Amino acid sequence: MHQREQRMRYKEQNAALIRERHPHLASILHEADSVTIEPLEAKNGLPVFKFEGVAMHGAYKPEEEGPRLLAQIDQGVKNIIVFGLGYGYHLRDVVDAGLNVTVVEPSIDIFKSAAENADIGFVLEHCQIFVGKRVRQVLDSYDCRGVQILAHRPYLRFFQQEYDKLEVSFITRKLVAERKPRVMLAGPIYGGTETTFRYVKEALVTLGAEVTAFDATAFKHSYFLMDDVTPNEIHRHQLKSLYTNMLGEAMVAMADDRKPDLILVMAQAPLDIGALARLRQLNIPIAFWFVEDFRTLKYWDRVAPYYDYFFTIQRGEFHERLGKAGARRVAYLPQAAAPRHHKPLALSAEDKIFHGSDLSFMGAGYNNRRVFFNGLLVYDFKIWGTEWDLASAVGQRVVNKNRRLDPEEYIKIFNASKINLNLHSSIMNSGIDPIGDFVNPRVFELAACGAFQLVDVRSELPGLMQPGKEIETYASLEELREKIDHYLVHPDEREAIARAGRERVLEDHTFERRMEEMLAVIFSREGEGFAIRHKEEGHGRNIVKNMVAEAEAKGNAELAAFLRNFDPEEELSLKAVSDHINKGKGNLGRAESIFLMVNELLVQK
Amino acid sequence: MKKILILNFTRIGDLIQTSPLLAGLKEEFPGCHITLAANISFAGICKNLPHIDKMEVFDPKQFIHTDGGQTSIADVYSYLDNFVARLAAEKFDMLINLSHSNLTAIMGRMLNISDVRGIVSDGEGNRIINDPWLMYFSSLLSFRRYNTFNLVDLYQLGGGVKPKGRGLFIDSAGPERLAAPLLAEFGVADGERVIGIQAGASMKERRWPSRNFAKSADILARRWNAKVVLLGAAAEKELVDEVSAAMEAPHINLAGKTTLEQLIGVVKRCAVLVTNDTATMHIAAATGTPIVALFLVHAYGFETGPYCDKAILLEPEIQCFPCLHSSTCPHYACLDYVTPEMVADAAELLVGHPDGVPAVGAETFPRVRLLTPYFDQYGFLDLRPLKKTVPSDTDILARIYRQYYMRPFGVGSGKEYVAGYLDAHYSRTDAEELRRWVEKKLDVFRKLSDVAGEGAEIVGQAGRDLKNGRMDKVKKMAQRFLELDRAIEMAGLAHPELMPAVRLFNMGKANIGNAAPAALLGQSRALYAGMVGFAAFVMERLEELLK
Repeated sequence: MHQREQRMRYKEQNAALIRERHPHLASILHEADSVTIEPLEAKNGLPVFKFEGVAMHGAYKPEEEGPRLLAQIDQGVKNIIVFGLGYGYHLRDVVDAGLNVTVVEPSIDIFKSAAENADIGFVLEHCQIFVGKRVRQVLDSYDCRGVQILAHRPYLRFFQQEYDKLEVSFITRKLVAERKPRVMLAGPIYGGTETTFRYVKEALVTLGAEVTAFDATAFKHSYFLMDDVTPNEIHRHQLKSLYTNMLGEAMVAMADDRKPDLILVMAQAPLDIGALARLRQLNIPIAFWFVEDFRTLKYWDRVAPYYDYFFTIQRGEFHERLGKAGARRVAYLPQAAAPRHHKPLALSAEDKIFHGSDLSFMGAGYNNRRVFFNGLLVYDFKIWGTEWDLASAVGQRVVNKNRRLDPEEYIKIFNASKINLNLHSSIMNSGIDPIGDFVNPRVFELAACGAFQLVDVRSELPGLMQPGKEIETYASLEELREKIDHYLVHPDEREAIARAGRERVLEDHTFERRMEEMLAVIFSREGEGFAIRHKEEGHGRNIVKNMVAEAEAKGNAELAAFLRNFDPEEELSLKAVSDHINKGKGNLGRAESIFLMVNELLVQK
Repeated sequence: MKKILILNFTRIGDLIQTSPLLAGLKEEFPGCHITLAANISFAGICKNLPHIDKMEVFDPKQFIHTDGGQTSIADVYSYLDNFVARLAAEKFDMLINLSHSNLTAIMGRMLNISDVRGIVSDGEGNRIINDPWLMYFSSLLSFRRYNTFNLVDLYQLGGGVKPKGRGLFIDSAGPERLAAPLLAEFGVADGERVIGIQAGASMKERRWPSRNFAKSADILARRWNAKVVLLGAAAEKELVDEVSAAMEAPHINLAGKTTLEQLIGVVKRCAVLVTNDTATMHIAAATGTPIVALFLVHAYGFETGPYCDKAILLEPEIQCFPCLHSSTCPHYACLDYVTPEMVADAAELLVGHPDGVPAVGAETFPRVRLLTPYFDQYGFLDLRPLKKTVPSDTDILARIYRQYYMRPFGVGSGKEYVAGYLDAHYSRTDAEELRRWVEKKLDVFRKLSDVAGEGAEIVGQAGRDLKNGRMDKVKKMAQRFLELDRAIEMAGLAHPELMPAVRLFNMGKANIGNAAPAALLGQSRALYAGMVGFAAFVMERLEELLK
């Protein structure tokens, strides 16, 4: 009786703390489909439990798990992530020691059980808690610098996969945040990869890398001006090819100057083998993300030997052929979404009407789409995009009349449509590509928007999104029509799939995730030394506030006063210093004079 | 006791070239104490330079990561802060700054030394040079072919010391003792003739090809039955190995195997050194070793030739010589103008005439100019051509300019100075052609003189207006000054022969930028008047050529 009362008290106390401190977890307590885990008693009377028949805490003195976890914390660490809440015994000492603890609990059932039966008030009061299988999202707004991650060991029997994903993401993010590797990103002049280039850049910056981007799209206008130079096709081709090579050389020059830790080249970047050979001489690892169909764009075999890392959206046959073409290290890295841009939107009534329809398609008018969509004209079907034959029956449905749309407009369409159609482009087929393997970015973009989509079957899709739960597919026109008919009258099912799809993308298919995966491969291969120079003792010393502190500590008040002219959070820029000095009138102070000399040594050379 | 600080952060060769200045200072200020501040990469040579009482080694590079690591600005800052504080604490009486850099200019300013010679910055960080010789030195690169002053003389003049025709100074007794066992180890017998080959050069493009060095060494070794010693620093080993591989005669490859001191000793032991314009060449000049030096591409004999009287310099007779330092040549054709046979012949000529090399026939050494250095009667180094050819425009004007700049040292304004030199070392120009050329040049200098003359006149007027408080008038004239200065600048660009005068005029103008109005007018007037005087001097000399 006594213990039951005790547990009732825990339950009430925990429920109050959850409402107060973790309101987002409150709904989980009432989720219907979870299994109840009944508590047991340890030999000393404390509540413990078994998960699928396995004891998750010691059967004698579970409270001894506290000092054991604390003993694993490295000296000086202030923040930790612990995988597994259990009944919280292992967390007691780290919380008491004043560490900032973030708890990741992969099981809703265990969380419910703990909330109802265990004394976890101290956890609820002092820790951040994440519950559910989407464990990696914990990291998205988390500063991993100086943080240690630990697992409550019994969890690894059941959640090894989740923990491994979390750990790899964590370690990569931590390394990036701490070492700030300098990445030079080389992008295309024009084409479909333009946006991917921008998203990759954003993701790398978010992770904490120092990114120098060579955005070749700035040269797009001049590139296409070559078309006005002469109608002679051969000459135009040669001129464009020279221009492309020139941009490749510019990329080499930039890399030579910046000496980055890594050069990341996006598909279609203007780097041919001449420029690549020169890039290799810089002895900087070069990675390539070939976000293209290897069967359509075939230059990969020529450039393969020049890259240290070749990331692809296809594997199997492609990886075999890359190996034969001399690629060094090949890894699969599918496309992704950028949730900062691809997100659910609250639309105005006008937007809903203008951009909305039962069925919509957004994309270019490739041949297979032009043919296949004839079978869908019976629906309230709006088509958006470019390169459509506006005179055809399908073309009549093209709302924007081939005008180029902004990405913001896409997002509105995705959000306003009941069903978004996704059909991978194919130049060889008149409908669904029977050997289609890779997944286009649209799959992830639509899902990230929380939009419902029907997508043609692709062999790589099931590994990325669970069909029927997180996404819905079709293999033929008949199946597509059946599903359109079904889902148009089942909005709740559409919403459930769309919600699950968005969750999945946020967890596994963002550009940040992709960059984590890419950098994990590169870190593990390049070894401990990768980008380590930044971590040398001098690191951070050029941050203005640190320099001010150092000057004060040394009693150099004049220097400290001078440094206060600059943004304390930023690295001191010698250009800003010399601009500041040049603006000043009259005689130079000592600090100014010395800075002019520093400038001579470090900048003018 | 006078305390003198010399800042010289340049290379080994330049440091050796500073030695006559140090000797001169010791004579001018008996008992003075000289501190030399030098860059760590090159300071090693100073151990063997006499007259240095104290060394200060400048080593900020220890904090600068060029391998991509992060350089701490605070570390560099505090290094400079301490370095300056340490020097300032010495309370020097005189500073001579021989480096061109802004860095030393600012450093010089911070030391608060009352007597400063050389480049120094003003209170706002602008570079100023007040000494006319150092102004000349720092603008030299824009009129190289019109300059006939050796860097060593310019260093001395910049430091306020008059050249005394004495060559370079280096302590070579110790090094000789160190080199003897080394050479013995390689089988060089006492009294055996040794030929030194230095194939390196600080700039890769300046190097005569290694196969040519090899071939000339082979020829000399055969003719003299001598031992060839290949010299070079560790960094030059690959290049020297190339020479070694291309040679047929037995030889000793010492690249990377000698310390700087042993190198001095070995060079001293050589009967002749064949070299590009290198630090080793300056060592040879200091140890009295005869030198056959190749001055190719950027290297120009009058400027940085060996400061001694036992050398032959070979320069290509090609229109574009010497290259601008900023240029990259598509062909470097001049490297092949000098052949291995010519070098061997020059060495024989030099070594065979220890009392002065005689002139050679005009048909010998085709496409190559042979020059030999000597100290003139005023104590300055000069070069004379060994082949009598018709003097070029540049040859004549450069000689006139030399006379102009040497007036303070006892060179009169008579016609003998130029005519004597040209008659002795050149063949005669066709009289009619000379007349036409002189007239053309007179026209150029007359125009320059007119512009400068107007400048002098309106400066005078502005001075009177200023006195009378007519600022409005003074301001109106300011616009005209700008136009005149622009005209002078344009004249320099259109007529390269005016460049020496124009550059010095511009530097003078820059120096007075912040002066008070009255002082500014006074100094401007001096500059315009100086220009008029210069033009008049040159025109007189040109006219004399026709008499």
